[in-house]
Amino acid sequence: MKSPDLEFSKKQKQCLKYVTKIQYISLAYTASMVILMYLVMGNSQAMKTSWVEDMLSAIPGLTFLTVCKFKDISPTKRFPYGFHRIGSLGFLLSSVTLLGLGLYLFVSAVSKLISQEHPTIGMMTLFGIDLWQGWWMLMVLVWGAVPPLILGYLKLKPAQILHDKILFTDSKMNKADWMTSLATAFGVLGVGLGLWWMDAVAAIFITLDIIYDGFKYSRDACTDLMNRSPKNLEGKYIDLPEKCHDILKKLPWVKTARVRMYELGHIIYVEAFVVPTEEFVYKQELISKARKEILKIDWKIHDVSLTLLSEKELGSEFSYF
Amino acid sequence: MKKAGILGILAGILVFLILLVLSLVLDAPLDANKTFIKAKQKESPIVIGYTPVKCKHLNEISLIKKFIKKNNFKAIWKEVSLHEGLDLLSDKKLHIFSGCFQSGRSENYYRNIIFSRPYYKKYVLAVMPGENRFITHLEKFLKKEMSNHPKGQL
Repeated sequence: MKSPDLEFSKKQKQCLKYVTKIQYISLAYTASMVILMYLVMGNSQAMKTSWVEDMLSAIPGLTFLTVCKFKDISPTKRFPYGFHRIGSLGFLLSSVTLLGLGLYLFVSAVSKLISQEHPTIGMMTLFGIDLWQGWWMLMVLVWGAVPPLILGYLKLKPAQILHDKILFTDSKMNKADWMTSLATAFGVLGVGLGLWWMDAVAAIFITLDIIYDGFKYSRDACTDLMNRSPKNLEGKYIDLPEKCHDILKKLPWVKTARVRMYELGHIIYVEAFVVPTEEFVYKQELISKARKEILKIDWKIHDVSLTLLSEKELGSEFSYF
Repeated sequence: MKKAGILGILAGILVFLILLVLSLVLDAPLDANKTFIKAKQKESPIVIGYTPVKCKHLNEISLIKKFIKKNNFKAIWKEVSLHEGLDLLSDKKLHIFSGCFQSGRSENYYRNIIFSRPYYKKYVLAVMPGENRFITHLEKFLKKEMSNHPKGQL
């Protein structure tokens, strides 16, 4: 395996430094939001749900920063593939938590709606000003809607440059935060207008969003760990296996080839199985050249393992890809 | 897709602004069951439950009486046991329940009961849930009244 230094270009390293700073700012903002929400959430189910979602929204950012720490550790004898999958593991855990909490909050909101529980929002004094607590909630929700849009936008480009799925997810979650704040505001304003059910309905909408995110990210994290073919940040399969295959097929000493690849964090590992022509005479340079050409296709390709096989072996054992 | 997204954002902001303007015009919060307006218009009385237990430092009953008098409400007083009172409150048959409840302790014991904010030390009143205009008026009154009696003696 390459040493971690070789994984990123100079531009990518600068980008990583920049986005790490953004992540710390983002975490500080999330902490401020969680504290403010806790102070004003009172008896509103929508506010409680939104508060939990705010806490959970820190998970991708924390996972990203944790993975950044592990990126600097070189592969060891016991972990020869390095520690790239720490991120996938962390992401699986956090997305399952997201899914579980989403389901719990959904049941809680639905039961409040069925039992016709009327939310009560009284008076609250802050900074010497005595106001209906709903107005304080709305002020906090405005703080919860605008900064995440900016932070999400700032993280999007670095996510693409670094091909970092956790960062990409974080950016998407940030950008969607304004909808949670808006739904919560509908609930609070509804209670203010005497429409008690609007609070629970807003909470249900927010939980559906949490459940959807939890399900989608759990599925992605699971399939990542199951070595499925690489996908881009938008979740679409990329044509790297085909490109590798074409390169191998064009080599004069190659009769047939099959390629499979999987992702380890932000990098891709390639396994190529090649049947040489009958005239082939083994030379180290030929194999090295083939490896180098594959490595040139994309910076994300981190390592290539090339195996020479007979046609019979390739047909019987590797016919599934 | 992008156009639909922008339209969605604009629609969301528009609904939010309509609700906000409505809330300001109608002087939110309103009651879910219009308790405050009905009591003001003498359509229905305020039902107050109280236990025979007297609070150590203050007279909750006289405080509630002052609130009723100030707002010119009709009131029905019911002496009840603690459990009866809590049941009536859960069934939304009481608007206020005076039981010398204290914030923290009482909130932990009676999880489904809604309390006012503390008006003196940790003392709170149990109230009917969802009647937010009524509750905010009660809380504002209690705060103002107790600021005139910082030692709790009425």
